[in-house]
Amino acid sequence: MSDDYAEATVGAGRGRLWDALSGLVALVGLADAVYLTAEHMAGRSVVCMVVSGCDKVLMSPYATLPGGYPLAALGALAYFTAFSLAVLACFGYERARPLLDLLVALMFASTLWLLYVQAFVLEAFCTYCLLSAAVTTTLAVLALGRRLPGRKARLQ
Amino acid sequence: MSRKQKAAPKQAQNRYLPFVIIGGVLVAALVAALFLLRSPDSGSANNTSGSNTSNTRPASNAPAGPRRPEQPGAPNPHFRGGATAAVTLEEFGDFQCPPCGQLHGTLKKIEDYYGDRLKVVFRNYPLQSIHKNAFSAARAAEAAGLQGKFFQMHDMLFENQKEWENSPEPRPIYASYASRIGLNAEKFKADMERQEVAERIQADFTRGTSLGVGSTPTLFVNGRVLPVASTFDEQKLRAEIDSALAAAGR
Repeated sequence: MSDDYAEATVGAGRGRLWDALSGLVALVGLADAVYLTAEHMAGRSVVCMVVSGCDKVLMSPYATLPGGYPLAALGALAYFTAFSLAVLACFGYERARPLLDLLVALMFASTLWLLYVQAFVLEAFCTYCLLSAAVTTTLAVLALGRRLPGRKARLQ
Repeated sequence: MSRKQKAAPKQAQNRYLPFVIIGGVLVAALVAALFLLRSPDSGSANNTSGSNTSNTRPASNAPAGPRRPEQPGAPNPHFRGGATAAVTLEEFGDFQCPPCGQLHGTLKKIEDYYGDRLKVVFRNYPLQSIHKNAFSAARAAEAAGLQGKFFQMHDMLFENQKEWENSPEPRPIYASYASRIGLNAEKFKADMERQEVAERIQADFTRGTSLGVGSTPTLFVNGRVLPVASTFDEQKLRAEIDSALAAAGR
């Protein structure tokens, strides 16, 4: 086994670890978004912890998509797609990685916009939205982290 | 058996395993969503208060339970613009809701632009569970309405929302607005507590709920609910009204 092959194998193993972590983190986001979607569709208020503005945020027009669909449903779809791409990447489907990176970048941009809306437009925060923001930020960090070893390997 | 031959079944297993995992998670997510939807009360606030209106979050697009038939709302609703206009824009609003305060400025411009070609109706939809002063503010506006100055109070409340929204006792602030718009102060204070005033607010709220209003502000143009994107974008809102005017042949 050549040194190059060993290095590539170790690099791939590390990459898969990042993918597996991304998949697990996306599952947390999926659970959060599914809960919010179900509560919205059932017309219920959510249990608000730590902060106290959940209803103010979740009942605002910003929480609803055109047609009356909850924004959380779009979040659930995004997290499920991120999870699926992370699993595929983990199992060696290399084409899934750039798609995952692109999706995470879009989700992170949306997260920044939603944080701005909560802080400056609605002046209220929702625990579940903050959890989702933390999940998306972690996914973005993992996506960046996954690229670092690869870059090193290329430099070597 | 060579190493390659041994690896072949494992590769085949690895080929299908990710799709099995993804499918499993999809099924689990759908089952969890269905379980939460059918759960009688997994949230906190599906209770109703015995007072003037419900604390329940109004159920927009709620699949559980049939929607009530359209309710008429308070009689002789408050409106600006043309009484016989071909197009009616009906707003369900909450005086304490910040986006309603933002929309107020846009609607003023819309009202000025269309004049008598548009009838703009305001319906009370106070979300008491999240806005502690919303109901009392609605009472203040309705009490001003009894002296013919509903919209003057309506404008004062929206334009000075920050002043009273978090006040532990907003009534003196409403009273100061009443004197600024020239209301009889004593009558205003007495009217605020009248049962008929509360009943008007309740009637509007019930109408909103029957129409599927789930958040505020919600706008209807000739009975058709507008998407959020059109509600907050003046150009899109104008396009909706223009389209309704064109359909009415005006």
